[in-house]
Amino acid sequence: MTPDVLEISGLTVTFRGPGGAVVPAAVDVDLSISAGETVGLVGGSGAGKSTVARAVAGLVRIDRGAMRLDGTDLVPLGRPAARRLRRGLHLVFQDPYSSLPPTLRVADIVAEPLVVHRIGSRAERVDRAVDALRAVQLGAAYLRRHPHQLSGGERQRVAFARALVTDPRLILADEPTQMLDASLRRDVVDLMAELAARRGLAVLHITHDLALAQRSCARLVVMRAGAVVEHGPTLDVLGSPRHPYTAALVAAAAGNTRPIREDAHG
Amino acid sequence: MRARGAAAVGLGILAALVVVALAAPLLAPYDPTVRAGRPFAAPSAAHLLGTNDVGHDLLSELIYGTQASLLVGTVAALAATVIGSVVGLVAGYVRGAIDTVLMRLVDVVLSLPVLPLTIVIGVFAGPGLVTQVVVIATVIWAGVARELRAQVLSLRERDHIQALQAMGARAWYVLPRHVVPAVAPIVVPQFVLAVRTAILLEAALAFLGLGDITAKSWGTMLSLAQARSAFLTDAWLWWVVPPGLAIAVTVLAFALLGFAFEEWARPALRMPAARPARRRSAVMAVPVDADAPALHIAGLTVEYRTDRGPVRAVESVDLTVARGEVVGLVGESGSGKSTIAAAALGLLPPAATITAGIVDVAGEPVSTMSAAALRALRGDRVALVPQEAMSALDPVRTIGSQIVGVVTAHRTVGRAAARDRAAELLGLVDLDPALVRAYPHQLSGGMRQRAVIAMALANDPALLIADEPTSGLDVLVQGEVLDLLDRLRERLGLAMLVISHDLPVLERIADRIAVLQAGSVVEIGPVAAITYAPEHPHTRTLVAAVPRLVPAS
Repeated sequence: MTPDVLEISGLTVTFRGPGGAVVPAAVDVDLSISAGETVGLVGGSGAGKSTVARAVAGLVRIDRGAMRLDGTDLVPLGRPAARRLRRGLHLVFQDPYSSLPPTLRVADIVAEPLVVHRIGSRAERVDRAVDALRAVQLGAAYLRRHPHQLSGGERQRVAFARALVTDPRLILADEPTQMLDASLRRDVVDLMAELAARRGLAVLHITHDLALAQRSCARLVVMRAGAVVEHGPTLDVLGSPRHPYTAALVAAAAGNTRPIREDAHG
Repeated sequence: MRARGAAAVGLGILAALVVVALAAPLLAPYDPTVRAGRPFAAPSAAHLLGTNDVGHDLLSELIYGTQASLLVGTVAALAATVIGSVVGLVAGYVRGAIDTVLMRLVDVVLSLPVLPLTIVIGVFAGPGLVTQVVVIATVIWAGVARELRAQVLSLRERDHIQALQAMGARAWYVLPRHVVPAVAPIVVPQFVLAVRTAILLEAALAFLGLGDITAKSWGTMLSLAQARSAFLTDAWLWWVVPPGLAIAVTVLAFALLGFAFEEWARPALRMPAARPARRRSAVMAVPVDADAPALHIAGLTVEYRTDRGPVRAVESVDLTVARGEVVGLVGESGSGKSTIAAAALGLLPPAATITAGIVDVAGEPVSTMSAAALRALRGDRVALVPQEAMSALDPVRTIGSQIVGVVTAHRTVGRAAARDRAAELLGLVDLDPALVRAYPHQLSGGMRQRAVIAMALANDPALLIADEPTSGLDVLVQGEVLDLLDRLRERLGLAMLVISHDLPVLERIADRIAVLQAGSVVEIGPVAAITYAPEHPHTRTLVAAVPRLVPAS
């Protein structure tokens, strides 16, 4: 078995609330993703899903725990070393309307990670940006556009192109479909699955939409109030949830699903 | 277009001022330091603005004054803006101990009285243009720093800056490329204000004898005019008004440039100028028709003006919501859902025009109503449940006072009665009536959405328009809010137009669903027909696109 691309163990993150109160955002979270695998991190608002992704991306300070990227623990490393290692991962945000810098053109947005990490010459960066855009099915015609000239789905594709341009090993996608239309949601989820399969990427898909998670994730991790309450293969978790919270989520999602009538089957 | 015009005017004025300053020896009819006429002469052909108390030509003084005023004002403002911006950027972005130290320094500078500080520094440094620049910059940089820091603090939390940090970008990469361009539009007005303050402070300094005596400025003219009793005679007309106007025009020029710069810095602002919508103003009160449908839209066509000519957002839409009926409007982004909702509320943006069709709410024609009649209608006969419950609520007012505000805007009731009504409404949406005293941040997302629904129900509307009422809510809370809307409809016989891009949401509460594509209703029918027997290809795509939880067998 190949070593996991991402392995988190005992991750604990707390925030200081008003009056110095300690608010736990993630408590002893264990999670792993192997190459080519998509893992769904599900739960309601405030469950701590985003905190886990932001901790891995280095955006929040962690209290304790280990975060191994390709076997190397990020936690004991100094900032420059951790920064170098984090080139291998990319975080995709929920809102494509705010996660792209509004004043740049698509070409510069997609190439920006290369500029940040000083990879390649200017011409090489453009080439890689074009390649990355092609991987998300956007043509070179998009290079000169500004984000406000794109639809929500196109913006999120640009965000994924930016994520791919450095050839990362891991993509952390934080509710990437939340702001999109239903048909685009499916497209984005299918795109993630395709990227995982074709490029051997490890993908952490954070979502509260169980039906979407079911579409692309091999395994699910269910969080509530900062803690993992259940994890396992998607079909097991959704088919026979062991934790009452998972059962409630499944019931809520099933409430959005009309039973398929026999005669309506094609 | 507008930006270019503003920039042209601003640049024109500034260019004229610079030319005047540079060409002063050629333009000025006299040497301003030489007695050219008798003291206190009124304007004449020889002295267009008259003379001062010693007989210096005032027009020549004004022309030469441009040099000192522009130089000291611009250089001091520039220095203050640069120092203030750097301090604000560093403090806001780096945070921590550096932030604390810098901001305490800013507090100290801001709390010092400006004039005594000015005098103290001025006396130590001795008179002269350099002293003026240093003193003015020292006094005004702190305000710029504080303003910038606040902007950077909020910018820092934005997704695209966080995205860069997640990419591993360091402060020295993010600051010049992303933070500086984003705050530049704020820096420019700050600079404009600084120029104004600098020109005024320069006048004060000159008055205190700290200016360069050999270079008279507009400020010096004003001070002298005041000191030599120009206000007691007609002399103020030609001694005070011209330098005053010169200062005002200079500040205006900077403001226009700032405006142009802001449009340049934010491409999304580059929109064609809005033409005010023409409305038929006097509309006779239409007798309320109890049998009229809650919403009746027929042949509605709405166009937006854009750079590339008019764009049709909604085309020949027919849609009726009967009393007590819930109609769902589904479509992808850009299909015209929000435009239809805005038309029903009379809230179309200025760039949009109804080019054909009618919109009647409870028998009243919204599309031809006056602005005042619309205000009376909204929140009363028709109410909106907006998408983002957090931004729909005023963060600094209690839930109760906000509901009371909606009630008293349309009904003449006493405070106590309105308060009772607020508590009653909270009960109606299954919230604890004691929450009238709560602030929005004390409520969860689901509770806020309920409070917003309570506000919408305040005046027993005939029609409730809910724009994506559950987006952004937790799945579990989403179900609760939909159940609530369903119960309210049963209990109050509410008619609702529910807009969503989420078909399952509409399947849960609507009687009928209208499917929008590119501004047109392509299919409308009972929920079961839309879900199980969609006819239009676009409806089929929408139905097929819904991710359904496949029950494990």
